[in-house]
Amino acid sequence: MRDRYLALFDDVEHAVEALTELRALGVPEGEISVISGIPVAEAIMGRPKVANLMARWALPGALIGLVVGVLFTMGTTLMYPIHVGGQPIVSLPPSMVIIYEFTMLGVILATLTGLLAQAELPRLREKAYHPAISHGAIGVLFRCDDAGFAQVRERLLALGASEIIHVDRSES
Amino acid sequence: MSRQNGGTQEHRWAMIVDIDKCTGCGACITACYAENNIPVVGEEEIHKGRHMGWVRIERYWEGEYPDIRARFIPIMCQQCGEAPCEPVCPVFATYHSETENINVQVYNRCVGTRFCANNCPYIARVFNWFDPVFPEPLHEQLNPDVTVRSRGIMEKCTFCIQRIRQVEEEAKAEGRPIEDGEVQPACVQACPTEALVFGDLNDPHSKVARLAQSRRAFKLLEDLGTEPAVIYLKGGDAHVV
Amino acid sequence: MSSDRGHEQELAHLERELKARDLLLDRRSREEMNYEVMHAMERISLGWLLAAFVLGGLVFLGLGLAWAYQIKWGLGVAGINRPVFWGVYIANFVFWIGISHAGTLISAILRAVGAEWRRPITRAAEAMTVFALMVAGMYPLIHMGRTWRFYWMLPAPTQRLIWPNFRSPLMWDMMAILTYLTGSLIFLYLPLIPDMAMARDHSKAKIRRKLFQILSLGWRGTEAEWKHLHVAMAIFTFIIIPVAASVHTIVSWDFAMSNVPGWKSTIFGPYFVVGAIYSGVGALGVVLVLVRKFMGFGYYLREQHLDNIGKIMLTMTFFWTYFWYNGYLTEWYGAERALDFLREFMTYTGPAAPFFYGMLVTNIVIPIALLWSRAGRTTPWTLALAGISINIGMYLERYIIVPVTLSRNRFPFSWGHYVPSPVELLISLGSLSMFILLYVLLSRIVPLISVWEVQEGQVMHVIRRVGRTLVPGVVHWHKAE
Repeated sequence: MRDRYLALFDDVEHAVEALTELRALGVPEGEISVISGIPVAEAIMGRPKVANLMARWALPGALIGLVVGVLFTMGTTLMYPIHVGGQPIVSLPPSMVIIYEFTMLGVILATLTGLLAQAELPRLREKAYHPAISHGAIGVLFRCDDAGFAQVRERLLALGASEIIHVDRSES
Repeated sequence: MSRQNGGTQEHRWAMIVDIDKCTGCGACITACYAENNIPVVGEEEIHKGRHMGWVRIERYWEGEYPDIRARFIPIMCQQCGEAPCEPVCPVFATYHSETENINVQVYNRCVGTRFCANNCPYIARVFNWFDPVFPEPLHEQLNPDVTVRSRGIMEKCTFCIQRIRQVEEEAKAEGRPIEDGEVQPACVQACPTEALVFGDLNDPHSKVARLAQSRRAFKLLEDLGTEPAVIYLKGGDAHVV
Repeated sequence: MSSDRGHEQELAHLERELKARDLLLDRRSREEMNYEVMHAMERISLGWLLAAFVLGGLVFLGLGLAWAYQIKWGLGVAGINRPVFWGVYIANFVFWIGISHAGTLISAILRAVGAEWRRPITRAAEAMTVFALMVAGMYPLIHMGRTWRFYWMLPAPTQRLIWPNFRSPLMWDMMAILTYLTGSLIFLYLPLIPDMAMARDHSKAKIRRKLFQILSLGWRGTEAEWKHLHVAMAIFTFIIIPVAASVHTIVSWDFAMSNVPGWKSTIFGPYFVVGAIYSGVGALGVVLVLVRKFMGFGYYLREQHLDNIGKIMLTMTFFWTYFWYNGYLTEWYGAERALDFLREFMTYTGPAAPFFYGMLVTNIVIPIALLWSRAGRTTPWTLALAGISINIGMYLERYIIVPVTLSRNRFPFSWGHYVPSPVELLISLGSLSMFILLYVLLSRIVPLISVWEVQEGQVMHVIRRVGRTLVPGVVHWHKAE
């Protein structure tokens, strides 16, 4: 049984020391995460980089948008050919505008989807949080077994943790 | 002539307007109102520039008083081969018909953006600012072959498409070609001086085809490349507009 | 010793000065900023209620009653006629699309080039874009002859078995606005998520907490959330700039694709983009001055911001003047007959001359006079006055382009004259009220200052002692590898 705990620190330096301490106490890197009110680079916290695969979302989005644009402009005129102003039924110059807009719309929607999927939002029921974080506190979220917790707690408080919250019991 | 109008190119309906013969009597306008169910809007609206006539007779004064002459030029939809009004419509309410080779207006598709009207260099299109009113007993004389248009949509000269279609269908039923002069739009029929002539340009023996070869022939704003189907005739020294 | 103490005092004075000059050096605790912004957001005063009520009434009058009247009776109740088929509705449309350009575009450009001073103004700017687009998007509907058939323009398979004509500039317009509105909404929303999480954490009212809990999507600020938000914002920043440029270009193509003398012009695309940014920045200046005054954000919106916005306005004045002159001169020199008619109509003693000369004065003379000096740019009321002047000028410009240009054409027999009708004026007033009302409502719903971005900036900015003096500097800690 490794429960989740959230320790709050007033500044970055203390949180970094706490991370070092947790590692020393045998908490694996994968069971630690940092929660903050402003972005803090992984390098500052000495944490592994978060992999970002946004391009894998944005590019297919662009492609889908492009295809939709082509289908709308050239496909629909072929389905129901109507002659206007002596223009060819399929003509690239006036179609480019719509194709461009749909490509952009594809990127926009795909990027939003990519953000939500990768950041795993929305997540309305998550309890591992404390309102002090949006006031500027740095939260260190970690898992710890019941036996070792007393020691961890003592060390973190010594390092300046203002509060250590027992988030939830865990099945893992 | 036009880039890509496709279709059968079966007919190229066209009109000759001999402005040397035009007296500015306005019979064409009246006939058009009667034939095409055009509402009469009254003095006040006309003053605002909202007359609904599909033909207008522009009058220009020439010379100085007392040696002064009025010149008339009837202008209606020029039925362009490459009409600027067509591509700007977002709902295909106006497009190039393939058999008649004229510019048609589908009232039921129109949503009233009025883009076509702005883009018509001949200012030939009119808009239904209000619902049409035909006070009794005028509603009894409405032409059953022509739709009465509601407010909010564009309309314009159709070359009396209902008459063209009627003749086309009759000729087809009887298995014969359409004779020259068989189709007569209301304005042509009404013109007392025969200033207006209607026919098929694709028929080399038609009267319009012959007149179109005249040295007096010209088209309005020809340099815009709209390929109008209305051809004007204007004489040398006697008549200058 | 005494000279050393004198020097220390000098440095302390210098530090105070540096802080007063730059928000990002004048650090405050996050908690303090949170509460200040939240308090401004939650305070519902009598004046606010009154403003919302009056604006709501005007919206009802214009967009409710007047529009319903027009739909019932037909477009004849407007002043448009033949040949002036387009009137103030289209001028308003172009105007509001123009206003929408400052927000997202300016914000995106400033983000793209890493202009740090942007931090407190981006939210207010981006919100402006979204609202202006909403207002602008209504005008094609208001303008339509058969508004109730608007869905015939939507690209959807229906029983009518016909698709819209995608080569019509109006369809380009619709798609461009759709894309831009979607993009701007998300662009406004993304950096708002952490601030809504903040509002969720510290709101006292239960209903607000519930609302923000949903709107913030349960944001906590984990490493992954920040990282992906950062990358998404970077992509949006660079996507939204060409989209914004395309939108106003396409608006110009509604005119430039035509045959109309005075519209058919190759410079219209960039000219409209420049004009849009110009009027947009002018409006942004006014909005910032008002937000600063009525929300009590003197700490966030300082002289530095007014000064910078003023400089952008002034730059755009010259850009716009250059583009306008470029178009005017080529037409003058070409002396095309129909354009001569138009020029007679709107210059010297022509009936439309007041619009033309009014445009030149409000768009060129007044902004330059007001914004030339630093004092003019940093005094809130002069900056706001310049912004208002620019918007009057840009409205006149659109008015000249739409109904004035249409009044003259190649057939003198068919020339026209246009005077807006009361219905048109009421609808215009209603839409202006709608824009202000949306902003007034928004100011009580979301934090108008991006608090987390300001704090991020403050953490990154330091005052360092170098030798005998103090120097401001930036630590780009979000770029730490």
